[in-house]
Amino acid sequence: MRATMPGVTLDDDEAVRRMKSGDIGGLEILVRRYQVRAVRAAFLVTQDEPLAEDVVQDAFLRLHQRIHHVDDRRPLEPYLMRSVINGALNAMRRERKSTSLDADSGPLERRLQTASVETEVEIAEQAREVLDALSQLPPRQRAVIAQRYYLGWSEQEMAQALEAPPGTIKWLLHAARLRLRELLGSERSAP
Amino acid sequence: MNPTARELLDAAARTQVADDIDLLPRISARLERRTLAQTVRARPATAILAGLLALALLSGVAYAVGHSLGYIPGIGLVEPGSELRVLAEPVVVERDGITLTVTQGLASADKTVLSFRVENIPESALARDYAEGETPPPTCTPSERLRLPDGTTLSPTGGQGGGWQLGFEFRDTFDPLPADVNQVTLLVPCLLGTAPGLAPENWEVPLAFVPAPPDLTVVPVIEITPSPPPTVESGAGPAATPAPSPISIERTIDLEDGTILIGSFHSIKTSDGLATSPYVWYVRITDADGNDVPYEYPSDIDLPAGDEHTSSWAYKIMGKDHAWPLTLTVESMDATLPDTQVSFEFDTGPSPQAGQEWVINQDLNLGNHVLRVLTATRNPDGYGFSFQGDGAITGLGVEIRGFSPYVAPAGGGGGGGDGSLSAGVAYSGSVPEGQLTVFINSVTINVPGPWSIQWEPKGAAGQPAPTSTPGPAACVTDETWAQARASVPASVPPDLSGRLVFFGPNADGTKYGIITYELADGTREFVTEGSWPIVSPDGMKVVFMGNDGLAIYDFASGQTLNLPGTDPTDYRMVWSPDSGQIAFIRSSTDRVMTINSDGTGQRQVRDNSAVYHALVGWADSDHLVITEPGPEGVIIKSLGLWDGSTSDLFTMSSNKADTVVSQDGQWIAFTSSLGGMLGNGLYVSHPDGSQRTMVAALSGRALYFPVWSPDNRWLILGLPDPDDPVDGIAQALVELSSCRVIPLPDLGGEVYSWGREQGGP
Repeated sequence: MRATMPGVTLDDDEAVRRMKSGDIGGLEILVRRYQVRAVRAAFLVTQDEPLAEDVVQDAFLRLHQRIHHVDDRRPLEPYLMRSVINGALNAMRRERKSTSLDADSGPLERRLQTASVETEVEIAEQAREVLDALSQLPPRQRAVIAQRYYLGWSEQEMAQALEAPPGTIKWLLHAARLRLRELLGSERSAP
Repeated sequence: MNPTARELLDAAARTQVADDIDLLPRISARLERRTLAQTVRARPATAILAGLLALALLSGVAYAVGHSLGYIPGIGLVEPGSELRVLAEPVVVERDGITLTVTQGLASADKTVLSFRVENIPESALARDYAEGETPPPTCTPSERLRLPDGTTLSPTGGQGGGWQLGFEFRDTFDPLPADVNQVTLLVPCLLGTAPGLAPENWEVPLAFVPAPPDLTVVPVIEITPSPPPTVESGAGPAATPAPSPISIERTIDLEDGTILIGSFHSIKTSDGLATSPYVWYVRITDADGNDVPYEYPSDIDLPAGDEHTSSWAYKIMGKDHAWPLTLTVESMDATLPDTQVSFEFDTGPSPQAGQEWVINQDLNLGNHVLRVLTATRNPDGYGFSFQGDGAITGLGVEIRGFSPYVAPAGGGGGGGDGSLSAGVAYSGSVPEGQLTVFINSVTINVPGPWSIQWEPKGAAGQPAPTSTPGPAACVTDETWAQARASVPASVPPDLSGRLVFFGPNADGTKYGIITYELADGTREFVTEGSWPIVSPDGMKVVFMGNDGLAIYDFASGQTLNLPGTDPTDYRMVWSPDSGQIAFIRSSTDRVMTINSDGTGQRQVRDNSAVYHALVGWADSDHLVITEPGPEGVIIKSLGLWDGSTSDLFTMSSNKADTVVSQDGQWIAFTSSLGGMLGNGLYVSHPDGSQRTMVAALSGRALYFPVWSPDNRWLILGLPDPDDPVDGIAQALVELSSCRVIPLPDLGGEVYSWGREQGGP
C-alpha cells in the first residue's frame, strides 16, 4: 500500500476531487486501491465470493453516484468500507443467508495465542477453521469481527461508524468472540 | 510464528478472494449503462494559473507583496490590476419551494467565478436508492453553463462542489467575460441528486455584474522567490548527494484564521538515476517543537494541472500562533523503473484448470532490486502471479506479449508492506496456454526521504514561540481533564442521587449486560443480558437491546417484557417525557418507530431511508427531536409524531454530532467540531438553540454520547481513556453550574443513562 498517515490519505482526497470534477480516472484509482481489501471484508461477512464482489461493485457505483455528497476533507477508506460492510449485511438480509446463532462468543486473538504456527500449511489449516467458524456466526457478528480484526478499526471508530455507544460495540464483539471461541475450541479438541 | 488476527482473517479470505481480482471492467460496463456521458462533467483544469505562476517566479524577490495576484475568499486568486466586476447582488430564484441562490460572483480579466447554492430539495424528488445488483436509476449531475447576451454559452473550466442530501453548493470557474458584457444567465439543467422530472428543471438565473466596490476585500498574495534551499536529511534515496528539493513554496496568503501556502512538488533524480513522480502521497507539517500542525485543503484555489515534472499543492495552515518556523516534510516519493525486457517463463501444460498453481521461485534483477517470482495461478479468465520484492518495490505490471488482455494494456498489481506483491492479466477471449513468457513492466520503487522545507511568516524570526494555544473557555479542556484525573479521587460525590444504568460484565465476567448502580448506597446489580440501556424518566423501567429485539426491565417487579414486533436492528431508543412511549430507529428498514411501554401500539412515524435522520429525543408528548445533515452542519429539527411534519430548530456547525435531549425535553447536549481546531466541543442549549454554552473543548479527542442527570444539573461525558487511548472510554461527571469536573470511578462499565431517585420529583 501507499504511504499514508493515520486519518489522512492525500491521494484518496485527490481521487475524490477528480471524480467530483467529472474525471472517471479518480474512480479507477480507488477501485484499484481498495477492491481486494473491500471484497475480502465483504466476503468475511457474506461467506460468498461472487456476492462479495457484487457488494463491492455496488459500493463503488454508489460512491460514483453520490460523489458530490462525499466530504473530501475526511478520510475516504472508512466511508467506503462502511458502505461495503453495510452492503454486505443488506445483501445477507436479502439473500436470507442469516443463521440463527445469536449466542455469545469470544476472542479471536486468543485462538491465535493458543498455538505456535510453524508452517504455511498450518496457517492455511487455521484459516480454514476460522472460515468455518465464521460461517456459523450471524452476519452482524461477522461484520464486527471483520471491522475489528480485518479492517483494524478501533472500538471507538466502530462506535462512530455504527453510531452506537462504544459499550454496545463491545457487546457485539464479545458475543462474536465467545461464539468463535466455542466453535474453534470444539473443532480443535475434535479427534 | 504466530499470525495476527488480521493475518489469519486475511488468509481465510484469501482462500476465496484472489489477489488479482479486477472489478473495473464490470464497474465500467455498469457505468456505461448509466449513460456516463450524461452524468460526468468535464472540467479540465485551467492552465491560466500556470502562466501566472511562471510570471510570479520571475520577480527575484524573497518576499514580495502582491504586485501579481490577490486573493478573494470564496473566489480564489485574481489577477491584479484587472478591472474586477462583482455580482450586483446575490440572486435568489425559487421554484416549487426550492431555492437557488447565486451567492458570489466575480469577473476578472482572466476568469469568471460563480458560487451558487441550492436548498430545500424535497426528499420525494431525490433519485431513489437502489439495491445491490440493481441498475442504478438515472440521477442528475448538473452541467451548468453561462449564457451570454449573444447566445453563446460558457462551460465550467474548473471548480469544486459538494452536497448534503437536500441541497448542494458549487463554485465554478468559467472563461472571462468580454469587457462589455455585464448581463449573463446561469443555466442549470437539473438539480444534483434528483430523478428526472421530479424537481424543477432548466433553471435560468439572470445575473448582473457591476464594477467592484473600492472596499472589496482582496488579500495580498505574497510571492516567495526563490524558494528556501532544501533541508535534505539522511536516507537511502538521493540524500547522499545534494539534489534539487522536490518541494517548493511559491506563495503565501495571510488570513485572519490561518495562512494559505501554495507551492509545487518536483520530480528529482535519485542516486540510481531514476526520476521520481512529482505526485506526493502525504506531507507532514510540524512546528518548531515537532508538533503536528493541522492543515486543510482550500476549496477556492484552482491549481494548475500537473505533468510528469511538477504538481501543485495548496494547504491552509490552521491558526496563527505556532512555534515558528514550520517544516513541511515529504517522507518518500515514488519512481518508476524504465521499461525493462526482464521476463520469466513458465509452462502451463495442456488444458490448465482454474485454480491450478505453478511454483516458479525465480529471482529477477530489476536494476538494483531483486524480485522473486513465487507462483503463477490460473484464474477463470487469465493468470495471477505472486512475487516477493525487497520492500522497495511497491507496484508492478505483467504482460504476456502477443495476447491482448481486456483488463488493462498490462495487468497491474500492488504490494503489501512486507514486500509481497501480486499482479495479473485477464482476457476477454481465449486465455494463452503452453510455454509462456511473462514480461515485467511498470515497476514502481519507493524512494525514501525525508525531504523538508521550512517556512515562517515574515518577521516571525526571533519572536518567542507561544507556549500554548489558548482555547475557548469551557469546563472540560485538555488541561482541566488532566488536572481532574490527577488530583480528584475517583469517587461519586455524596450529593448525587438516583440510579446509574450502565453496560458491563457480571461479577465473574461470563456475561455482559445491564448493570445498575444506586448512587445512594453504592449497590451494584447485574440485571440482565443486553445493551444500550435507557432508563425511563420516571425511573421505573429501563429499555434495552436484547438478542431478539427491544425489551423493558421493570425495576419494581424484576420482570422483563420483550417488546413484540421489535427486531435486533432496533436501536437509539428514547423515552417520552411521561414514560409511556419509546421512539427508536429500525435500522433494517430505516424507519423512525414508536411503541407503547406495554408493548402495544407499534407504529411508523417516518420513513428515514431517503434522508438520514438521527433520533435524539422527545421535545414534548407530540414531537420528537431529530437531526439532519444540512449545508452549514447538522440541523436540529422537531418532528411531529402524528403528521410527520418537521421544522428547523437550529443548526450546529458540525458534520456529525452526537446529540442527547434531557429527560424533560428542556435541554439538549451536543458535540460539535471546533472551528480551526482538530478537536471536539460539547455544548448545551435549549432545543431552540438559546442559552448555548460550551461545556467541553478538547483538542484531537472524540467525545461520546453525553448522559443527562434527571435534574439537568450534571452531565456524564465519555472521553478517550489516556491509559487506553485506542479502545478505552473514561467517563467524567460535569456539574454545569460550577464547572466541577470529576472523573467517574470505574464502575465496571459504561454509563448509558441516569434514572431519578425512586419516589423523587
